Amino acid sequence: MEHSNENEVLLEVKGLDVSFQTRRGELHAVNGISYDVRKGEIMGLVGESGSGKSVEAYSIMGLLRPPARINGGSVSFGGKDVFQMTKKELESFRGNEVSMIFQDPLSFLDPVFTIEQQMVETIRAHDKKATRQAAKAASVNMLKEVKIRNPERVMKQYPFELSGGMRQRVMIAIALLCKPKLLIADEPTTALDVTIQAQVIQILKGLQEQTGMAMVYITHNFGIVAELCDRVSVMYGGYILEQGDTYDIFYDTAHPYTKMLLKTVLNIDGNTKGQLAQIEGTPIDQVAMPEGCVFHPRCESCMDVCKTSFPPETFLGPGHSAKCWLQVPDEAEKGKWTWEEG
Amino acid sequence: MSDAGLLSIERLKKYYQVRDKAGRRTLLKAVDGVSFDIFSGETFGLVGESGCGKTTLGRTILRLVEPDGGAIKYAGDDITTVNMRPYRSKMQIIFQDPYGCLDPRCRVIDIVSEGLRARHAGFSKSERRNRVAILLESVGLDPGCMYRYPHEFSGGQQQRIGIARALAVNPEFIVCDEPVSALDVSFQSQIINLLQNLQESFGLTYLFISHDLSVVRHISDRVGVMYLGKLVELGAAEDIVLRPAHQYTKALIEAIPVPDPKTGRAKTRKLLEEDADLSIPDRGCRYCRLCERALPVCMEEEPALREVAPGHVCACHLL
Repeated sequence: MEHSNENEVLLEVKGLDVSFQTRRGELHAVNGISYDVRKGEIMGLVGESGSGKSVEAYSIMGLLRPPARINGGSVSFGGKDVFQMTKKELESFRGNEVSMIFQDPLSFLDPVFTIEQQMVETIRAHDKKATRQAAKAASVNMLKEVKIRNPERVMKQYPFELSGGMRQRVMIAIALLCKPKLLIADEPTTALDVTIQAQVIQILKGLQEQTGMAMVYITHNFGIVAELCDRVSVMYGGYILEQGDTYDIFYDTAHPYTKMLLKTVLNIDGNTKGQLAQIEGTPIDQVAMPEGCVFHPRCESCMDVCKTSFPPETFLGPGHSAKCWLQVPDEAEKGKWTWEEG
Repeated sequence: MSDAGLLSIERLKKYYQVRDKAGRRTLLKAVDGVSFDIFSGETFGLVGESGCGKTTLGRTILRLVEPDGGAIKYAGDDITTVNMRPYRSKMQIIFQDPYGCLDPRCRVIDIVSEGLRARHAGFSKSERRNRVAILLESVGLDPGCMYRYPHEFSGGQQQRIGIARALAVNPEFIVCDEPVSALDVSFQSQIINLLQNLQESFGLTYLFISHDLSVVRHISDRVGVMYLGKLVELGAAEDIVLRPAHQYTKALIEAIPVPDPKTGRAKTRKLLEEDADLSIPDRGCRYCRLCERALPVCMEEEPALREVAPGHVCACHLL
């Protein structure tokens, strides 16, 4: 194990801008977002569907293909620019450095191969010297890590023979086979029952503590964010509207969108009779983006300035920032602003 | 809440013939002798995990799936075997997948008015248009959109169309089969509020099926918990959540992530090893293999529902 500084930045996304060519015009999926993930940190990406969470994750892996187009920005991992990597470099980068798990394990696992074949192939693809025997032993160990009781039997089975929770565990095992430094989890528990979800999260948490890997966890469930993530980025319409550590986001919420999202969360322990708080309107059309702040058509505290110009990023504390005119005092009323970094 | 049950089911059963792993024919007991009453004007929540039979139960009640045993009574009439036609306009359903349940080739006006046309022939065009406009308005949609197709709407709006269709025939009782599970968080609260408002203004009775206990608690007066085809616990929503009696209900509540970092992070959960065998055992309590406090009797004898508090029943040997 290399000796590394805990605070060392592992992944750095800077001004990433991705759009899709559609028949109706250009769809702005990700609009210049920036964030970083430090070693051993769990970063939560929250937002509604269409907010750009998954597209953003795919671009980290260098998985975007036309009609997706990267218009600008950079993704650097451990100091290397992902967009500049050759095909060969990308092959070893995926799996060895960054790995990904998905919402639907059946589209991740190949239906015509046994779990053993898929696991052994994964190891041998990344380590040409690995023998079949060694790869098999490593696979069994990994299945034990994800708390599968009878790994030898599961190795001989096909994906369709496993239950949803088992498939999810197998997928996690395969993703972690090459000991990646970063795991991107794209809503891995959304399709699962709550009891199975709790188990999967427990496993991910345990493995994260054990290996010290970093994680980008995409979800729309604030319960999971609260229990699992160290930091949170709240996305809407392809922008990160608020970013901060989990406690800041929950207890020192700055952006009206985050506030509304948190209010709509049903808490089983709370007294929740009567009307629920709701966010009016529908998510924005990313082909015809509104002028000004992306959230202004649905915002409760929308001001005149919000309709005309996009708010700058305001820093509210260490690592806590929001893009909202409410956080830019005085200038907001005048409708003009001068903003200096820091 | 009146004391006469609007709908009551008694020992309702639905078995499916399936083949097990070895290829032998077996019976999958999707719903196995479930009884409860739903009172007029209340919301009865039904929770359970996937595969527990809650959706099958909802459809069996509407006779969209024919029951294999037991009885269904609606407003005093036994409807277990009768022709359902007169009851269809009283009992409606809202589905989970808002897009899947709308015919992609029909306009909103056709979808919403189909039930009307089936019941009252000879609706004039303008009458139909007026009626659909009122319905769309009542579910919070712009009546101007009635000539558009389902794919032009967002998920939350599609669910509203589904609700308008159910309301078109003036029903008394609606089965809501996971109406918010497929929706985004911001739509979930919109639809829940809408369902509650409609209940108030039209005096509706709901059977609200969901896997999400937080949603069920919010909307329901009483809650039934299902596990592998059986009703294991039933009581007032507050009792089920705050004073759960069954070990399974406790596990369900325990598993919900708490949206509060201070308490959520402190929570530690027992990590179960995954064992794939979740078929229904031949005898004994169906939950005994996962139950932490299972007794020898749990393996042998199936527990019956017993009253643990007024209006709160639970099937567990530990009580």
